[in-house]
Amino acid sequence: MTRVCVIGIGHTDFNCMTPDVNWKDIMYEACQKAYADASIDPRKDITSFITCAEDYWEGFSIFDEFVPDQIGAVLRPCCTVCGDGIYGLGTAYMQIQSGLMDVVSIEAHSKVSDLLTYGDVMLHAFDPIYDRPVSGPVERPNYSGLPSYPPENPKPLAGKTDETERVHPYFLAGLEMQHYLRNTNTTEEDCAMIAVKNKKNAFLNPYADYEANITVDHVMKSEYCFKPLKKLDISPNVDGAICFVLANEKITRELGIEPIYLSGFGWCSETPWLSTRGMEAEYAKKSAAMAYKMAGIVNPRKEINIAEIDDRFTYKELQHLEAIGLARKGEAKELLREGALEIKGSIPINSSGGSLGVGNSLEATGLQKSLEIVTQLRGHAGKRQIPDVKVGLAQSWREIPSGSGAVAIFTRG
Amino acid sequence: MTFIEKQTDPTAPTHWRGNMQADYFYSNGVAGDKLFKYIKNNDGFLATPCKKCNKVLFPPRMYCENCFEEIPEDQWIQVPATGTVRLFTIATINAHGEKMKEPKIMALINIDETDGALLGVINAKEWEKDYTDLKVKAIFKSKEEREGTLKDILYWNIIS
Amino acid sequence: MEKSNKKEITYPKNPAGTHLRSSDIRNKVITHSWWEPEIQYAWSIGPAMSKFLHGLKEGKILGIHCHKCKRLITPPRSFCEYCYGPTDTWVELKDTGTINTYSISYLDPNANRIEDPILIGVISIDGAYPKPMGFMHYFGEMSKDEIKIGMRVKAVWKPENEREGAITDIKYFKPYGGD
Repeated sequence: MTRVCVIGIGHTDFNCMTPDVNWKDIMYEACQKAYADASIDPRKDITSFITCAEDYWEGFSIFDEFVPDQIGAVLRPCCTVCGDGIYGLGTAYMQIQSGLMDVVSIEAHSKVSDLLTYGDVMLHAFDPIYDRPVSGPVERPNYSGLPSYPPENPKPLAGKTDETERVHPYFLAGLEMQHYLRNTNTTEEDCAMIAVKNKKNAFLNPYADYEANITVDHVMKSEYCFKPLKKLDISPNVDGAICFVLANEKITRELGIEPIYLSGFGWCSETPWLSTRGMEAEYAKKSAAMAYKMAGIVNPRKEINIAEIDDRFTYKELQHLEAIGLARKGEAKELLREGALEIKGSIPINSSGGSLGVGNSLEATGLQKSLEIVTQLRGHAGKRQIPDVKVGLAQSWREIPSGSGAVAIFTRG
Repeated sequence: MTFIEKQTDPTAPTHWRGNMQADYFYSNGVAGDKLFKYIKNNDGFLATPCKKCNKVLFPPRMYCENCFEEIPEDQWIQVPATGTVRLFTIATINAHGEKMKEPKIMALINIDETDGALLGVINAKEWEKDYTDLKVKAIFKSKEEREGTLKDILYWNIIS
Repeated sequence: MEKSNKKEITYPKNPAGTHLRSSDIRNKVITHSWWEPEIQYAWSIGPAMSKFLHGLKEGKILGIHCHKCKRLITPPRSFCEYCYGPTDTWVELKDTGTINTYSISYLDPNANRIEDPILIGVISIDGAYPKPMGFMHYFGEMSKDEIKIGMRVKAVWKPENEREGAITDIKYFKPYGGD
């Protein structure tokens, strides 16, 4: 059986706004850079193209149709995975392992600055019968006729008046954070330390957009948004695009590329019912177990050198660390306090700055995590380079309100 | 540089506005319809016991997501509209990311006599209090006003 | 597969279902939930579309070259989807063209029946290549019996003070006799 190797990576800078370029342009830039990195011609050498995107983030029905041009896939096998970019890696892995495809391009991006109503789109992902109505008023749509066309443009934002105000969907993170803190005796200060660490790491990452020199005190004094979740516990949104090129081992050798293997992959989804979901990131635990088994990892704590863990909210980094077995339950805060999670620590976590430091790049999050691991394995991480990295893990979660996530393990050949 | 030309004129057109109109009527489903028709006439809930998993599922379902076993209609039970606060958060930010005029206490409430829970808003205004494990009771709209949705519950009152 | 290998199926074999019509929702035969999300965008258009829209405001249709693929593309884009290289030189095109295909619509955008049909189609813009190269628009000053593929057409522009940098700065395309 062949092994699956990373032969190219490319990305744009990550910016809180990108008014000068459209979604096609950022995808094109990331892909061009990845194809140049792999020294391949996408119009000839790539056999399959995958984009990971969600229609509502983009503002298109059937976003798939808007994809081929900018990734080099016109008149070629191309598909869209509706999910985090890390699922694209898994899909590519299967296509290559099955022998169906030799070289696969995977792209994911965020153009969240195009979206004026992020909170409402996320509420739209809640269960419409049992969960959404709790967030606030729901006006009964007028059923007498079809919507006016063309729509009034721009329409006033309904949520801006008190009568129609809905609660921001991040309140679910507030609920889960409370559960985590209580069950692990972790403090809000511990969570604040995650924000401080990741925003500090981001200074060493040229493409990060939310680097900051802050202290635990800054985080603690930032306002409660969804108590105990505070403003600085939340990763702010960012635009950016990332492209990966994977290939089988034969082609990788022919191209003279030192292989970095995608050696393990796992994914898992929990029930959407909030009532029966454990709120303990079981999805991360199970996807990591699957990935460890595939990669032949028996003792993750000893065998994994670095990890990029989903940190869309500060407590999530600690919760995920425990779920994937890099810390025992309740132990993540101890590792954090000892400094083990720092770039110079024994198990550096989110050396890229994570979502707190780089920004929350929506469906690109899993690829941003993977990008950092591959950069570190290549030894190209500059000032944040961690010495002797052989095995790295990237983990991502599909954010609120999901209980879905995936883990990818990369190994230097 | 991946492009030959870039946008350098900040006064040039940069964006295009648009809405995505996506209004829905969701049928509540066979199980949901049964629950909400019950709520229209009763200040209580229905739940579905899964005999195989030994769990009382709430909100009620046609099948258990754990063992995938069908739950026969004759096994449905009535449960009170009371519960215990499992988790709560004090939300101060609205869906547009702005501060709300008044915070809202959002809670995940374990429903009595079931293994399930429901999201709800707690009718209280103490922002420093710990609401965990408090007993709460659903306050419904008047029967004439009920429409058969979760909106028939106005909020939850603390009863202990 | 051997029948004996099959597991006993325990999940609903004949799950109960209800046949629903939209009238059952309107007449409240069944309970239902509703939701109207607030979903708005301000899509960045990027440098190529920006220049194109600005051109329309000035009453011009712009195109851009991909010299490698020998294409003159309109609406313009930052890169050529065939060779995957960046596009290069801007060109002002004529506002005339040929009907590539069309449709006669007896439904308005809200799907109401209409007497006077909407004529809509794709126009190959003169000077852009390879054919077909152009965009979709309305047709006017012609009847449903007159419209045909291959017909020569010319843009009818909104008055300059009403143009806003949109594809609708062209009102429609009308029949065009002389070249």
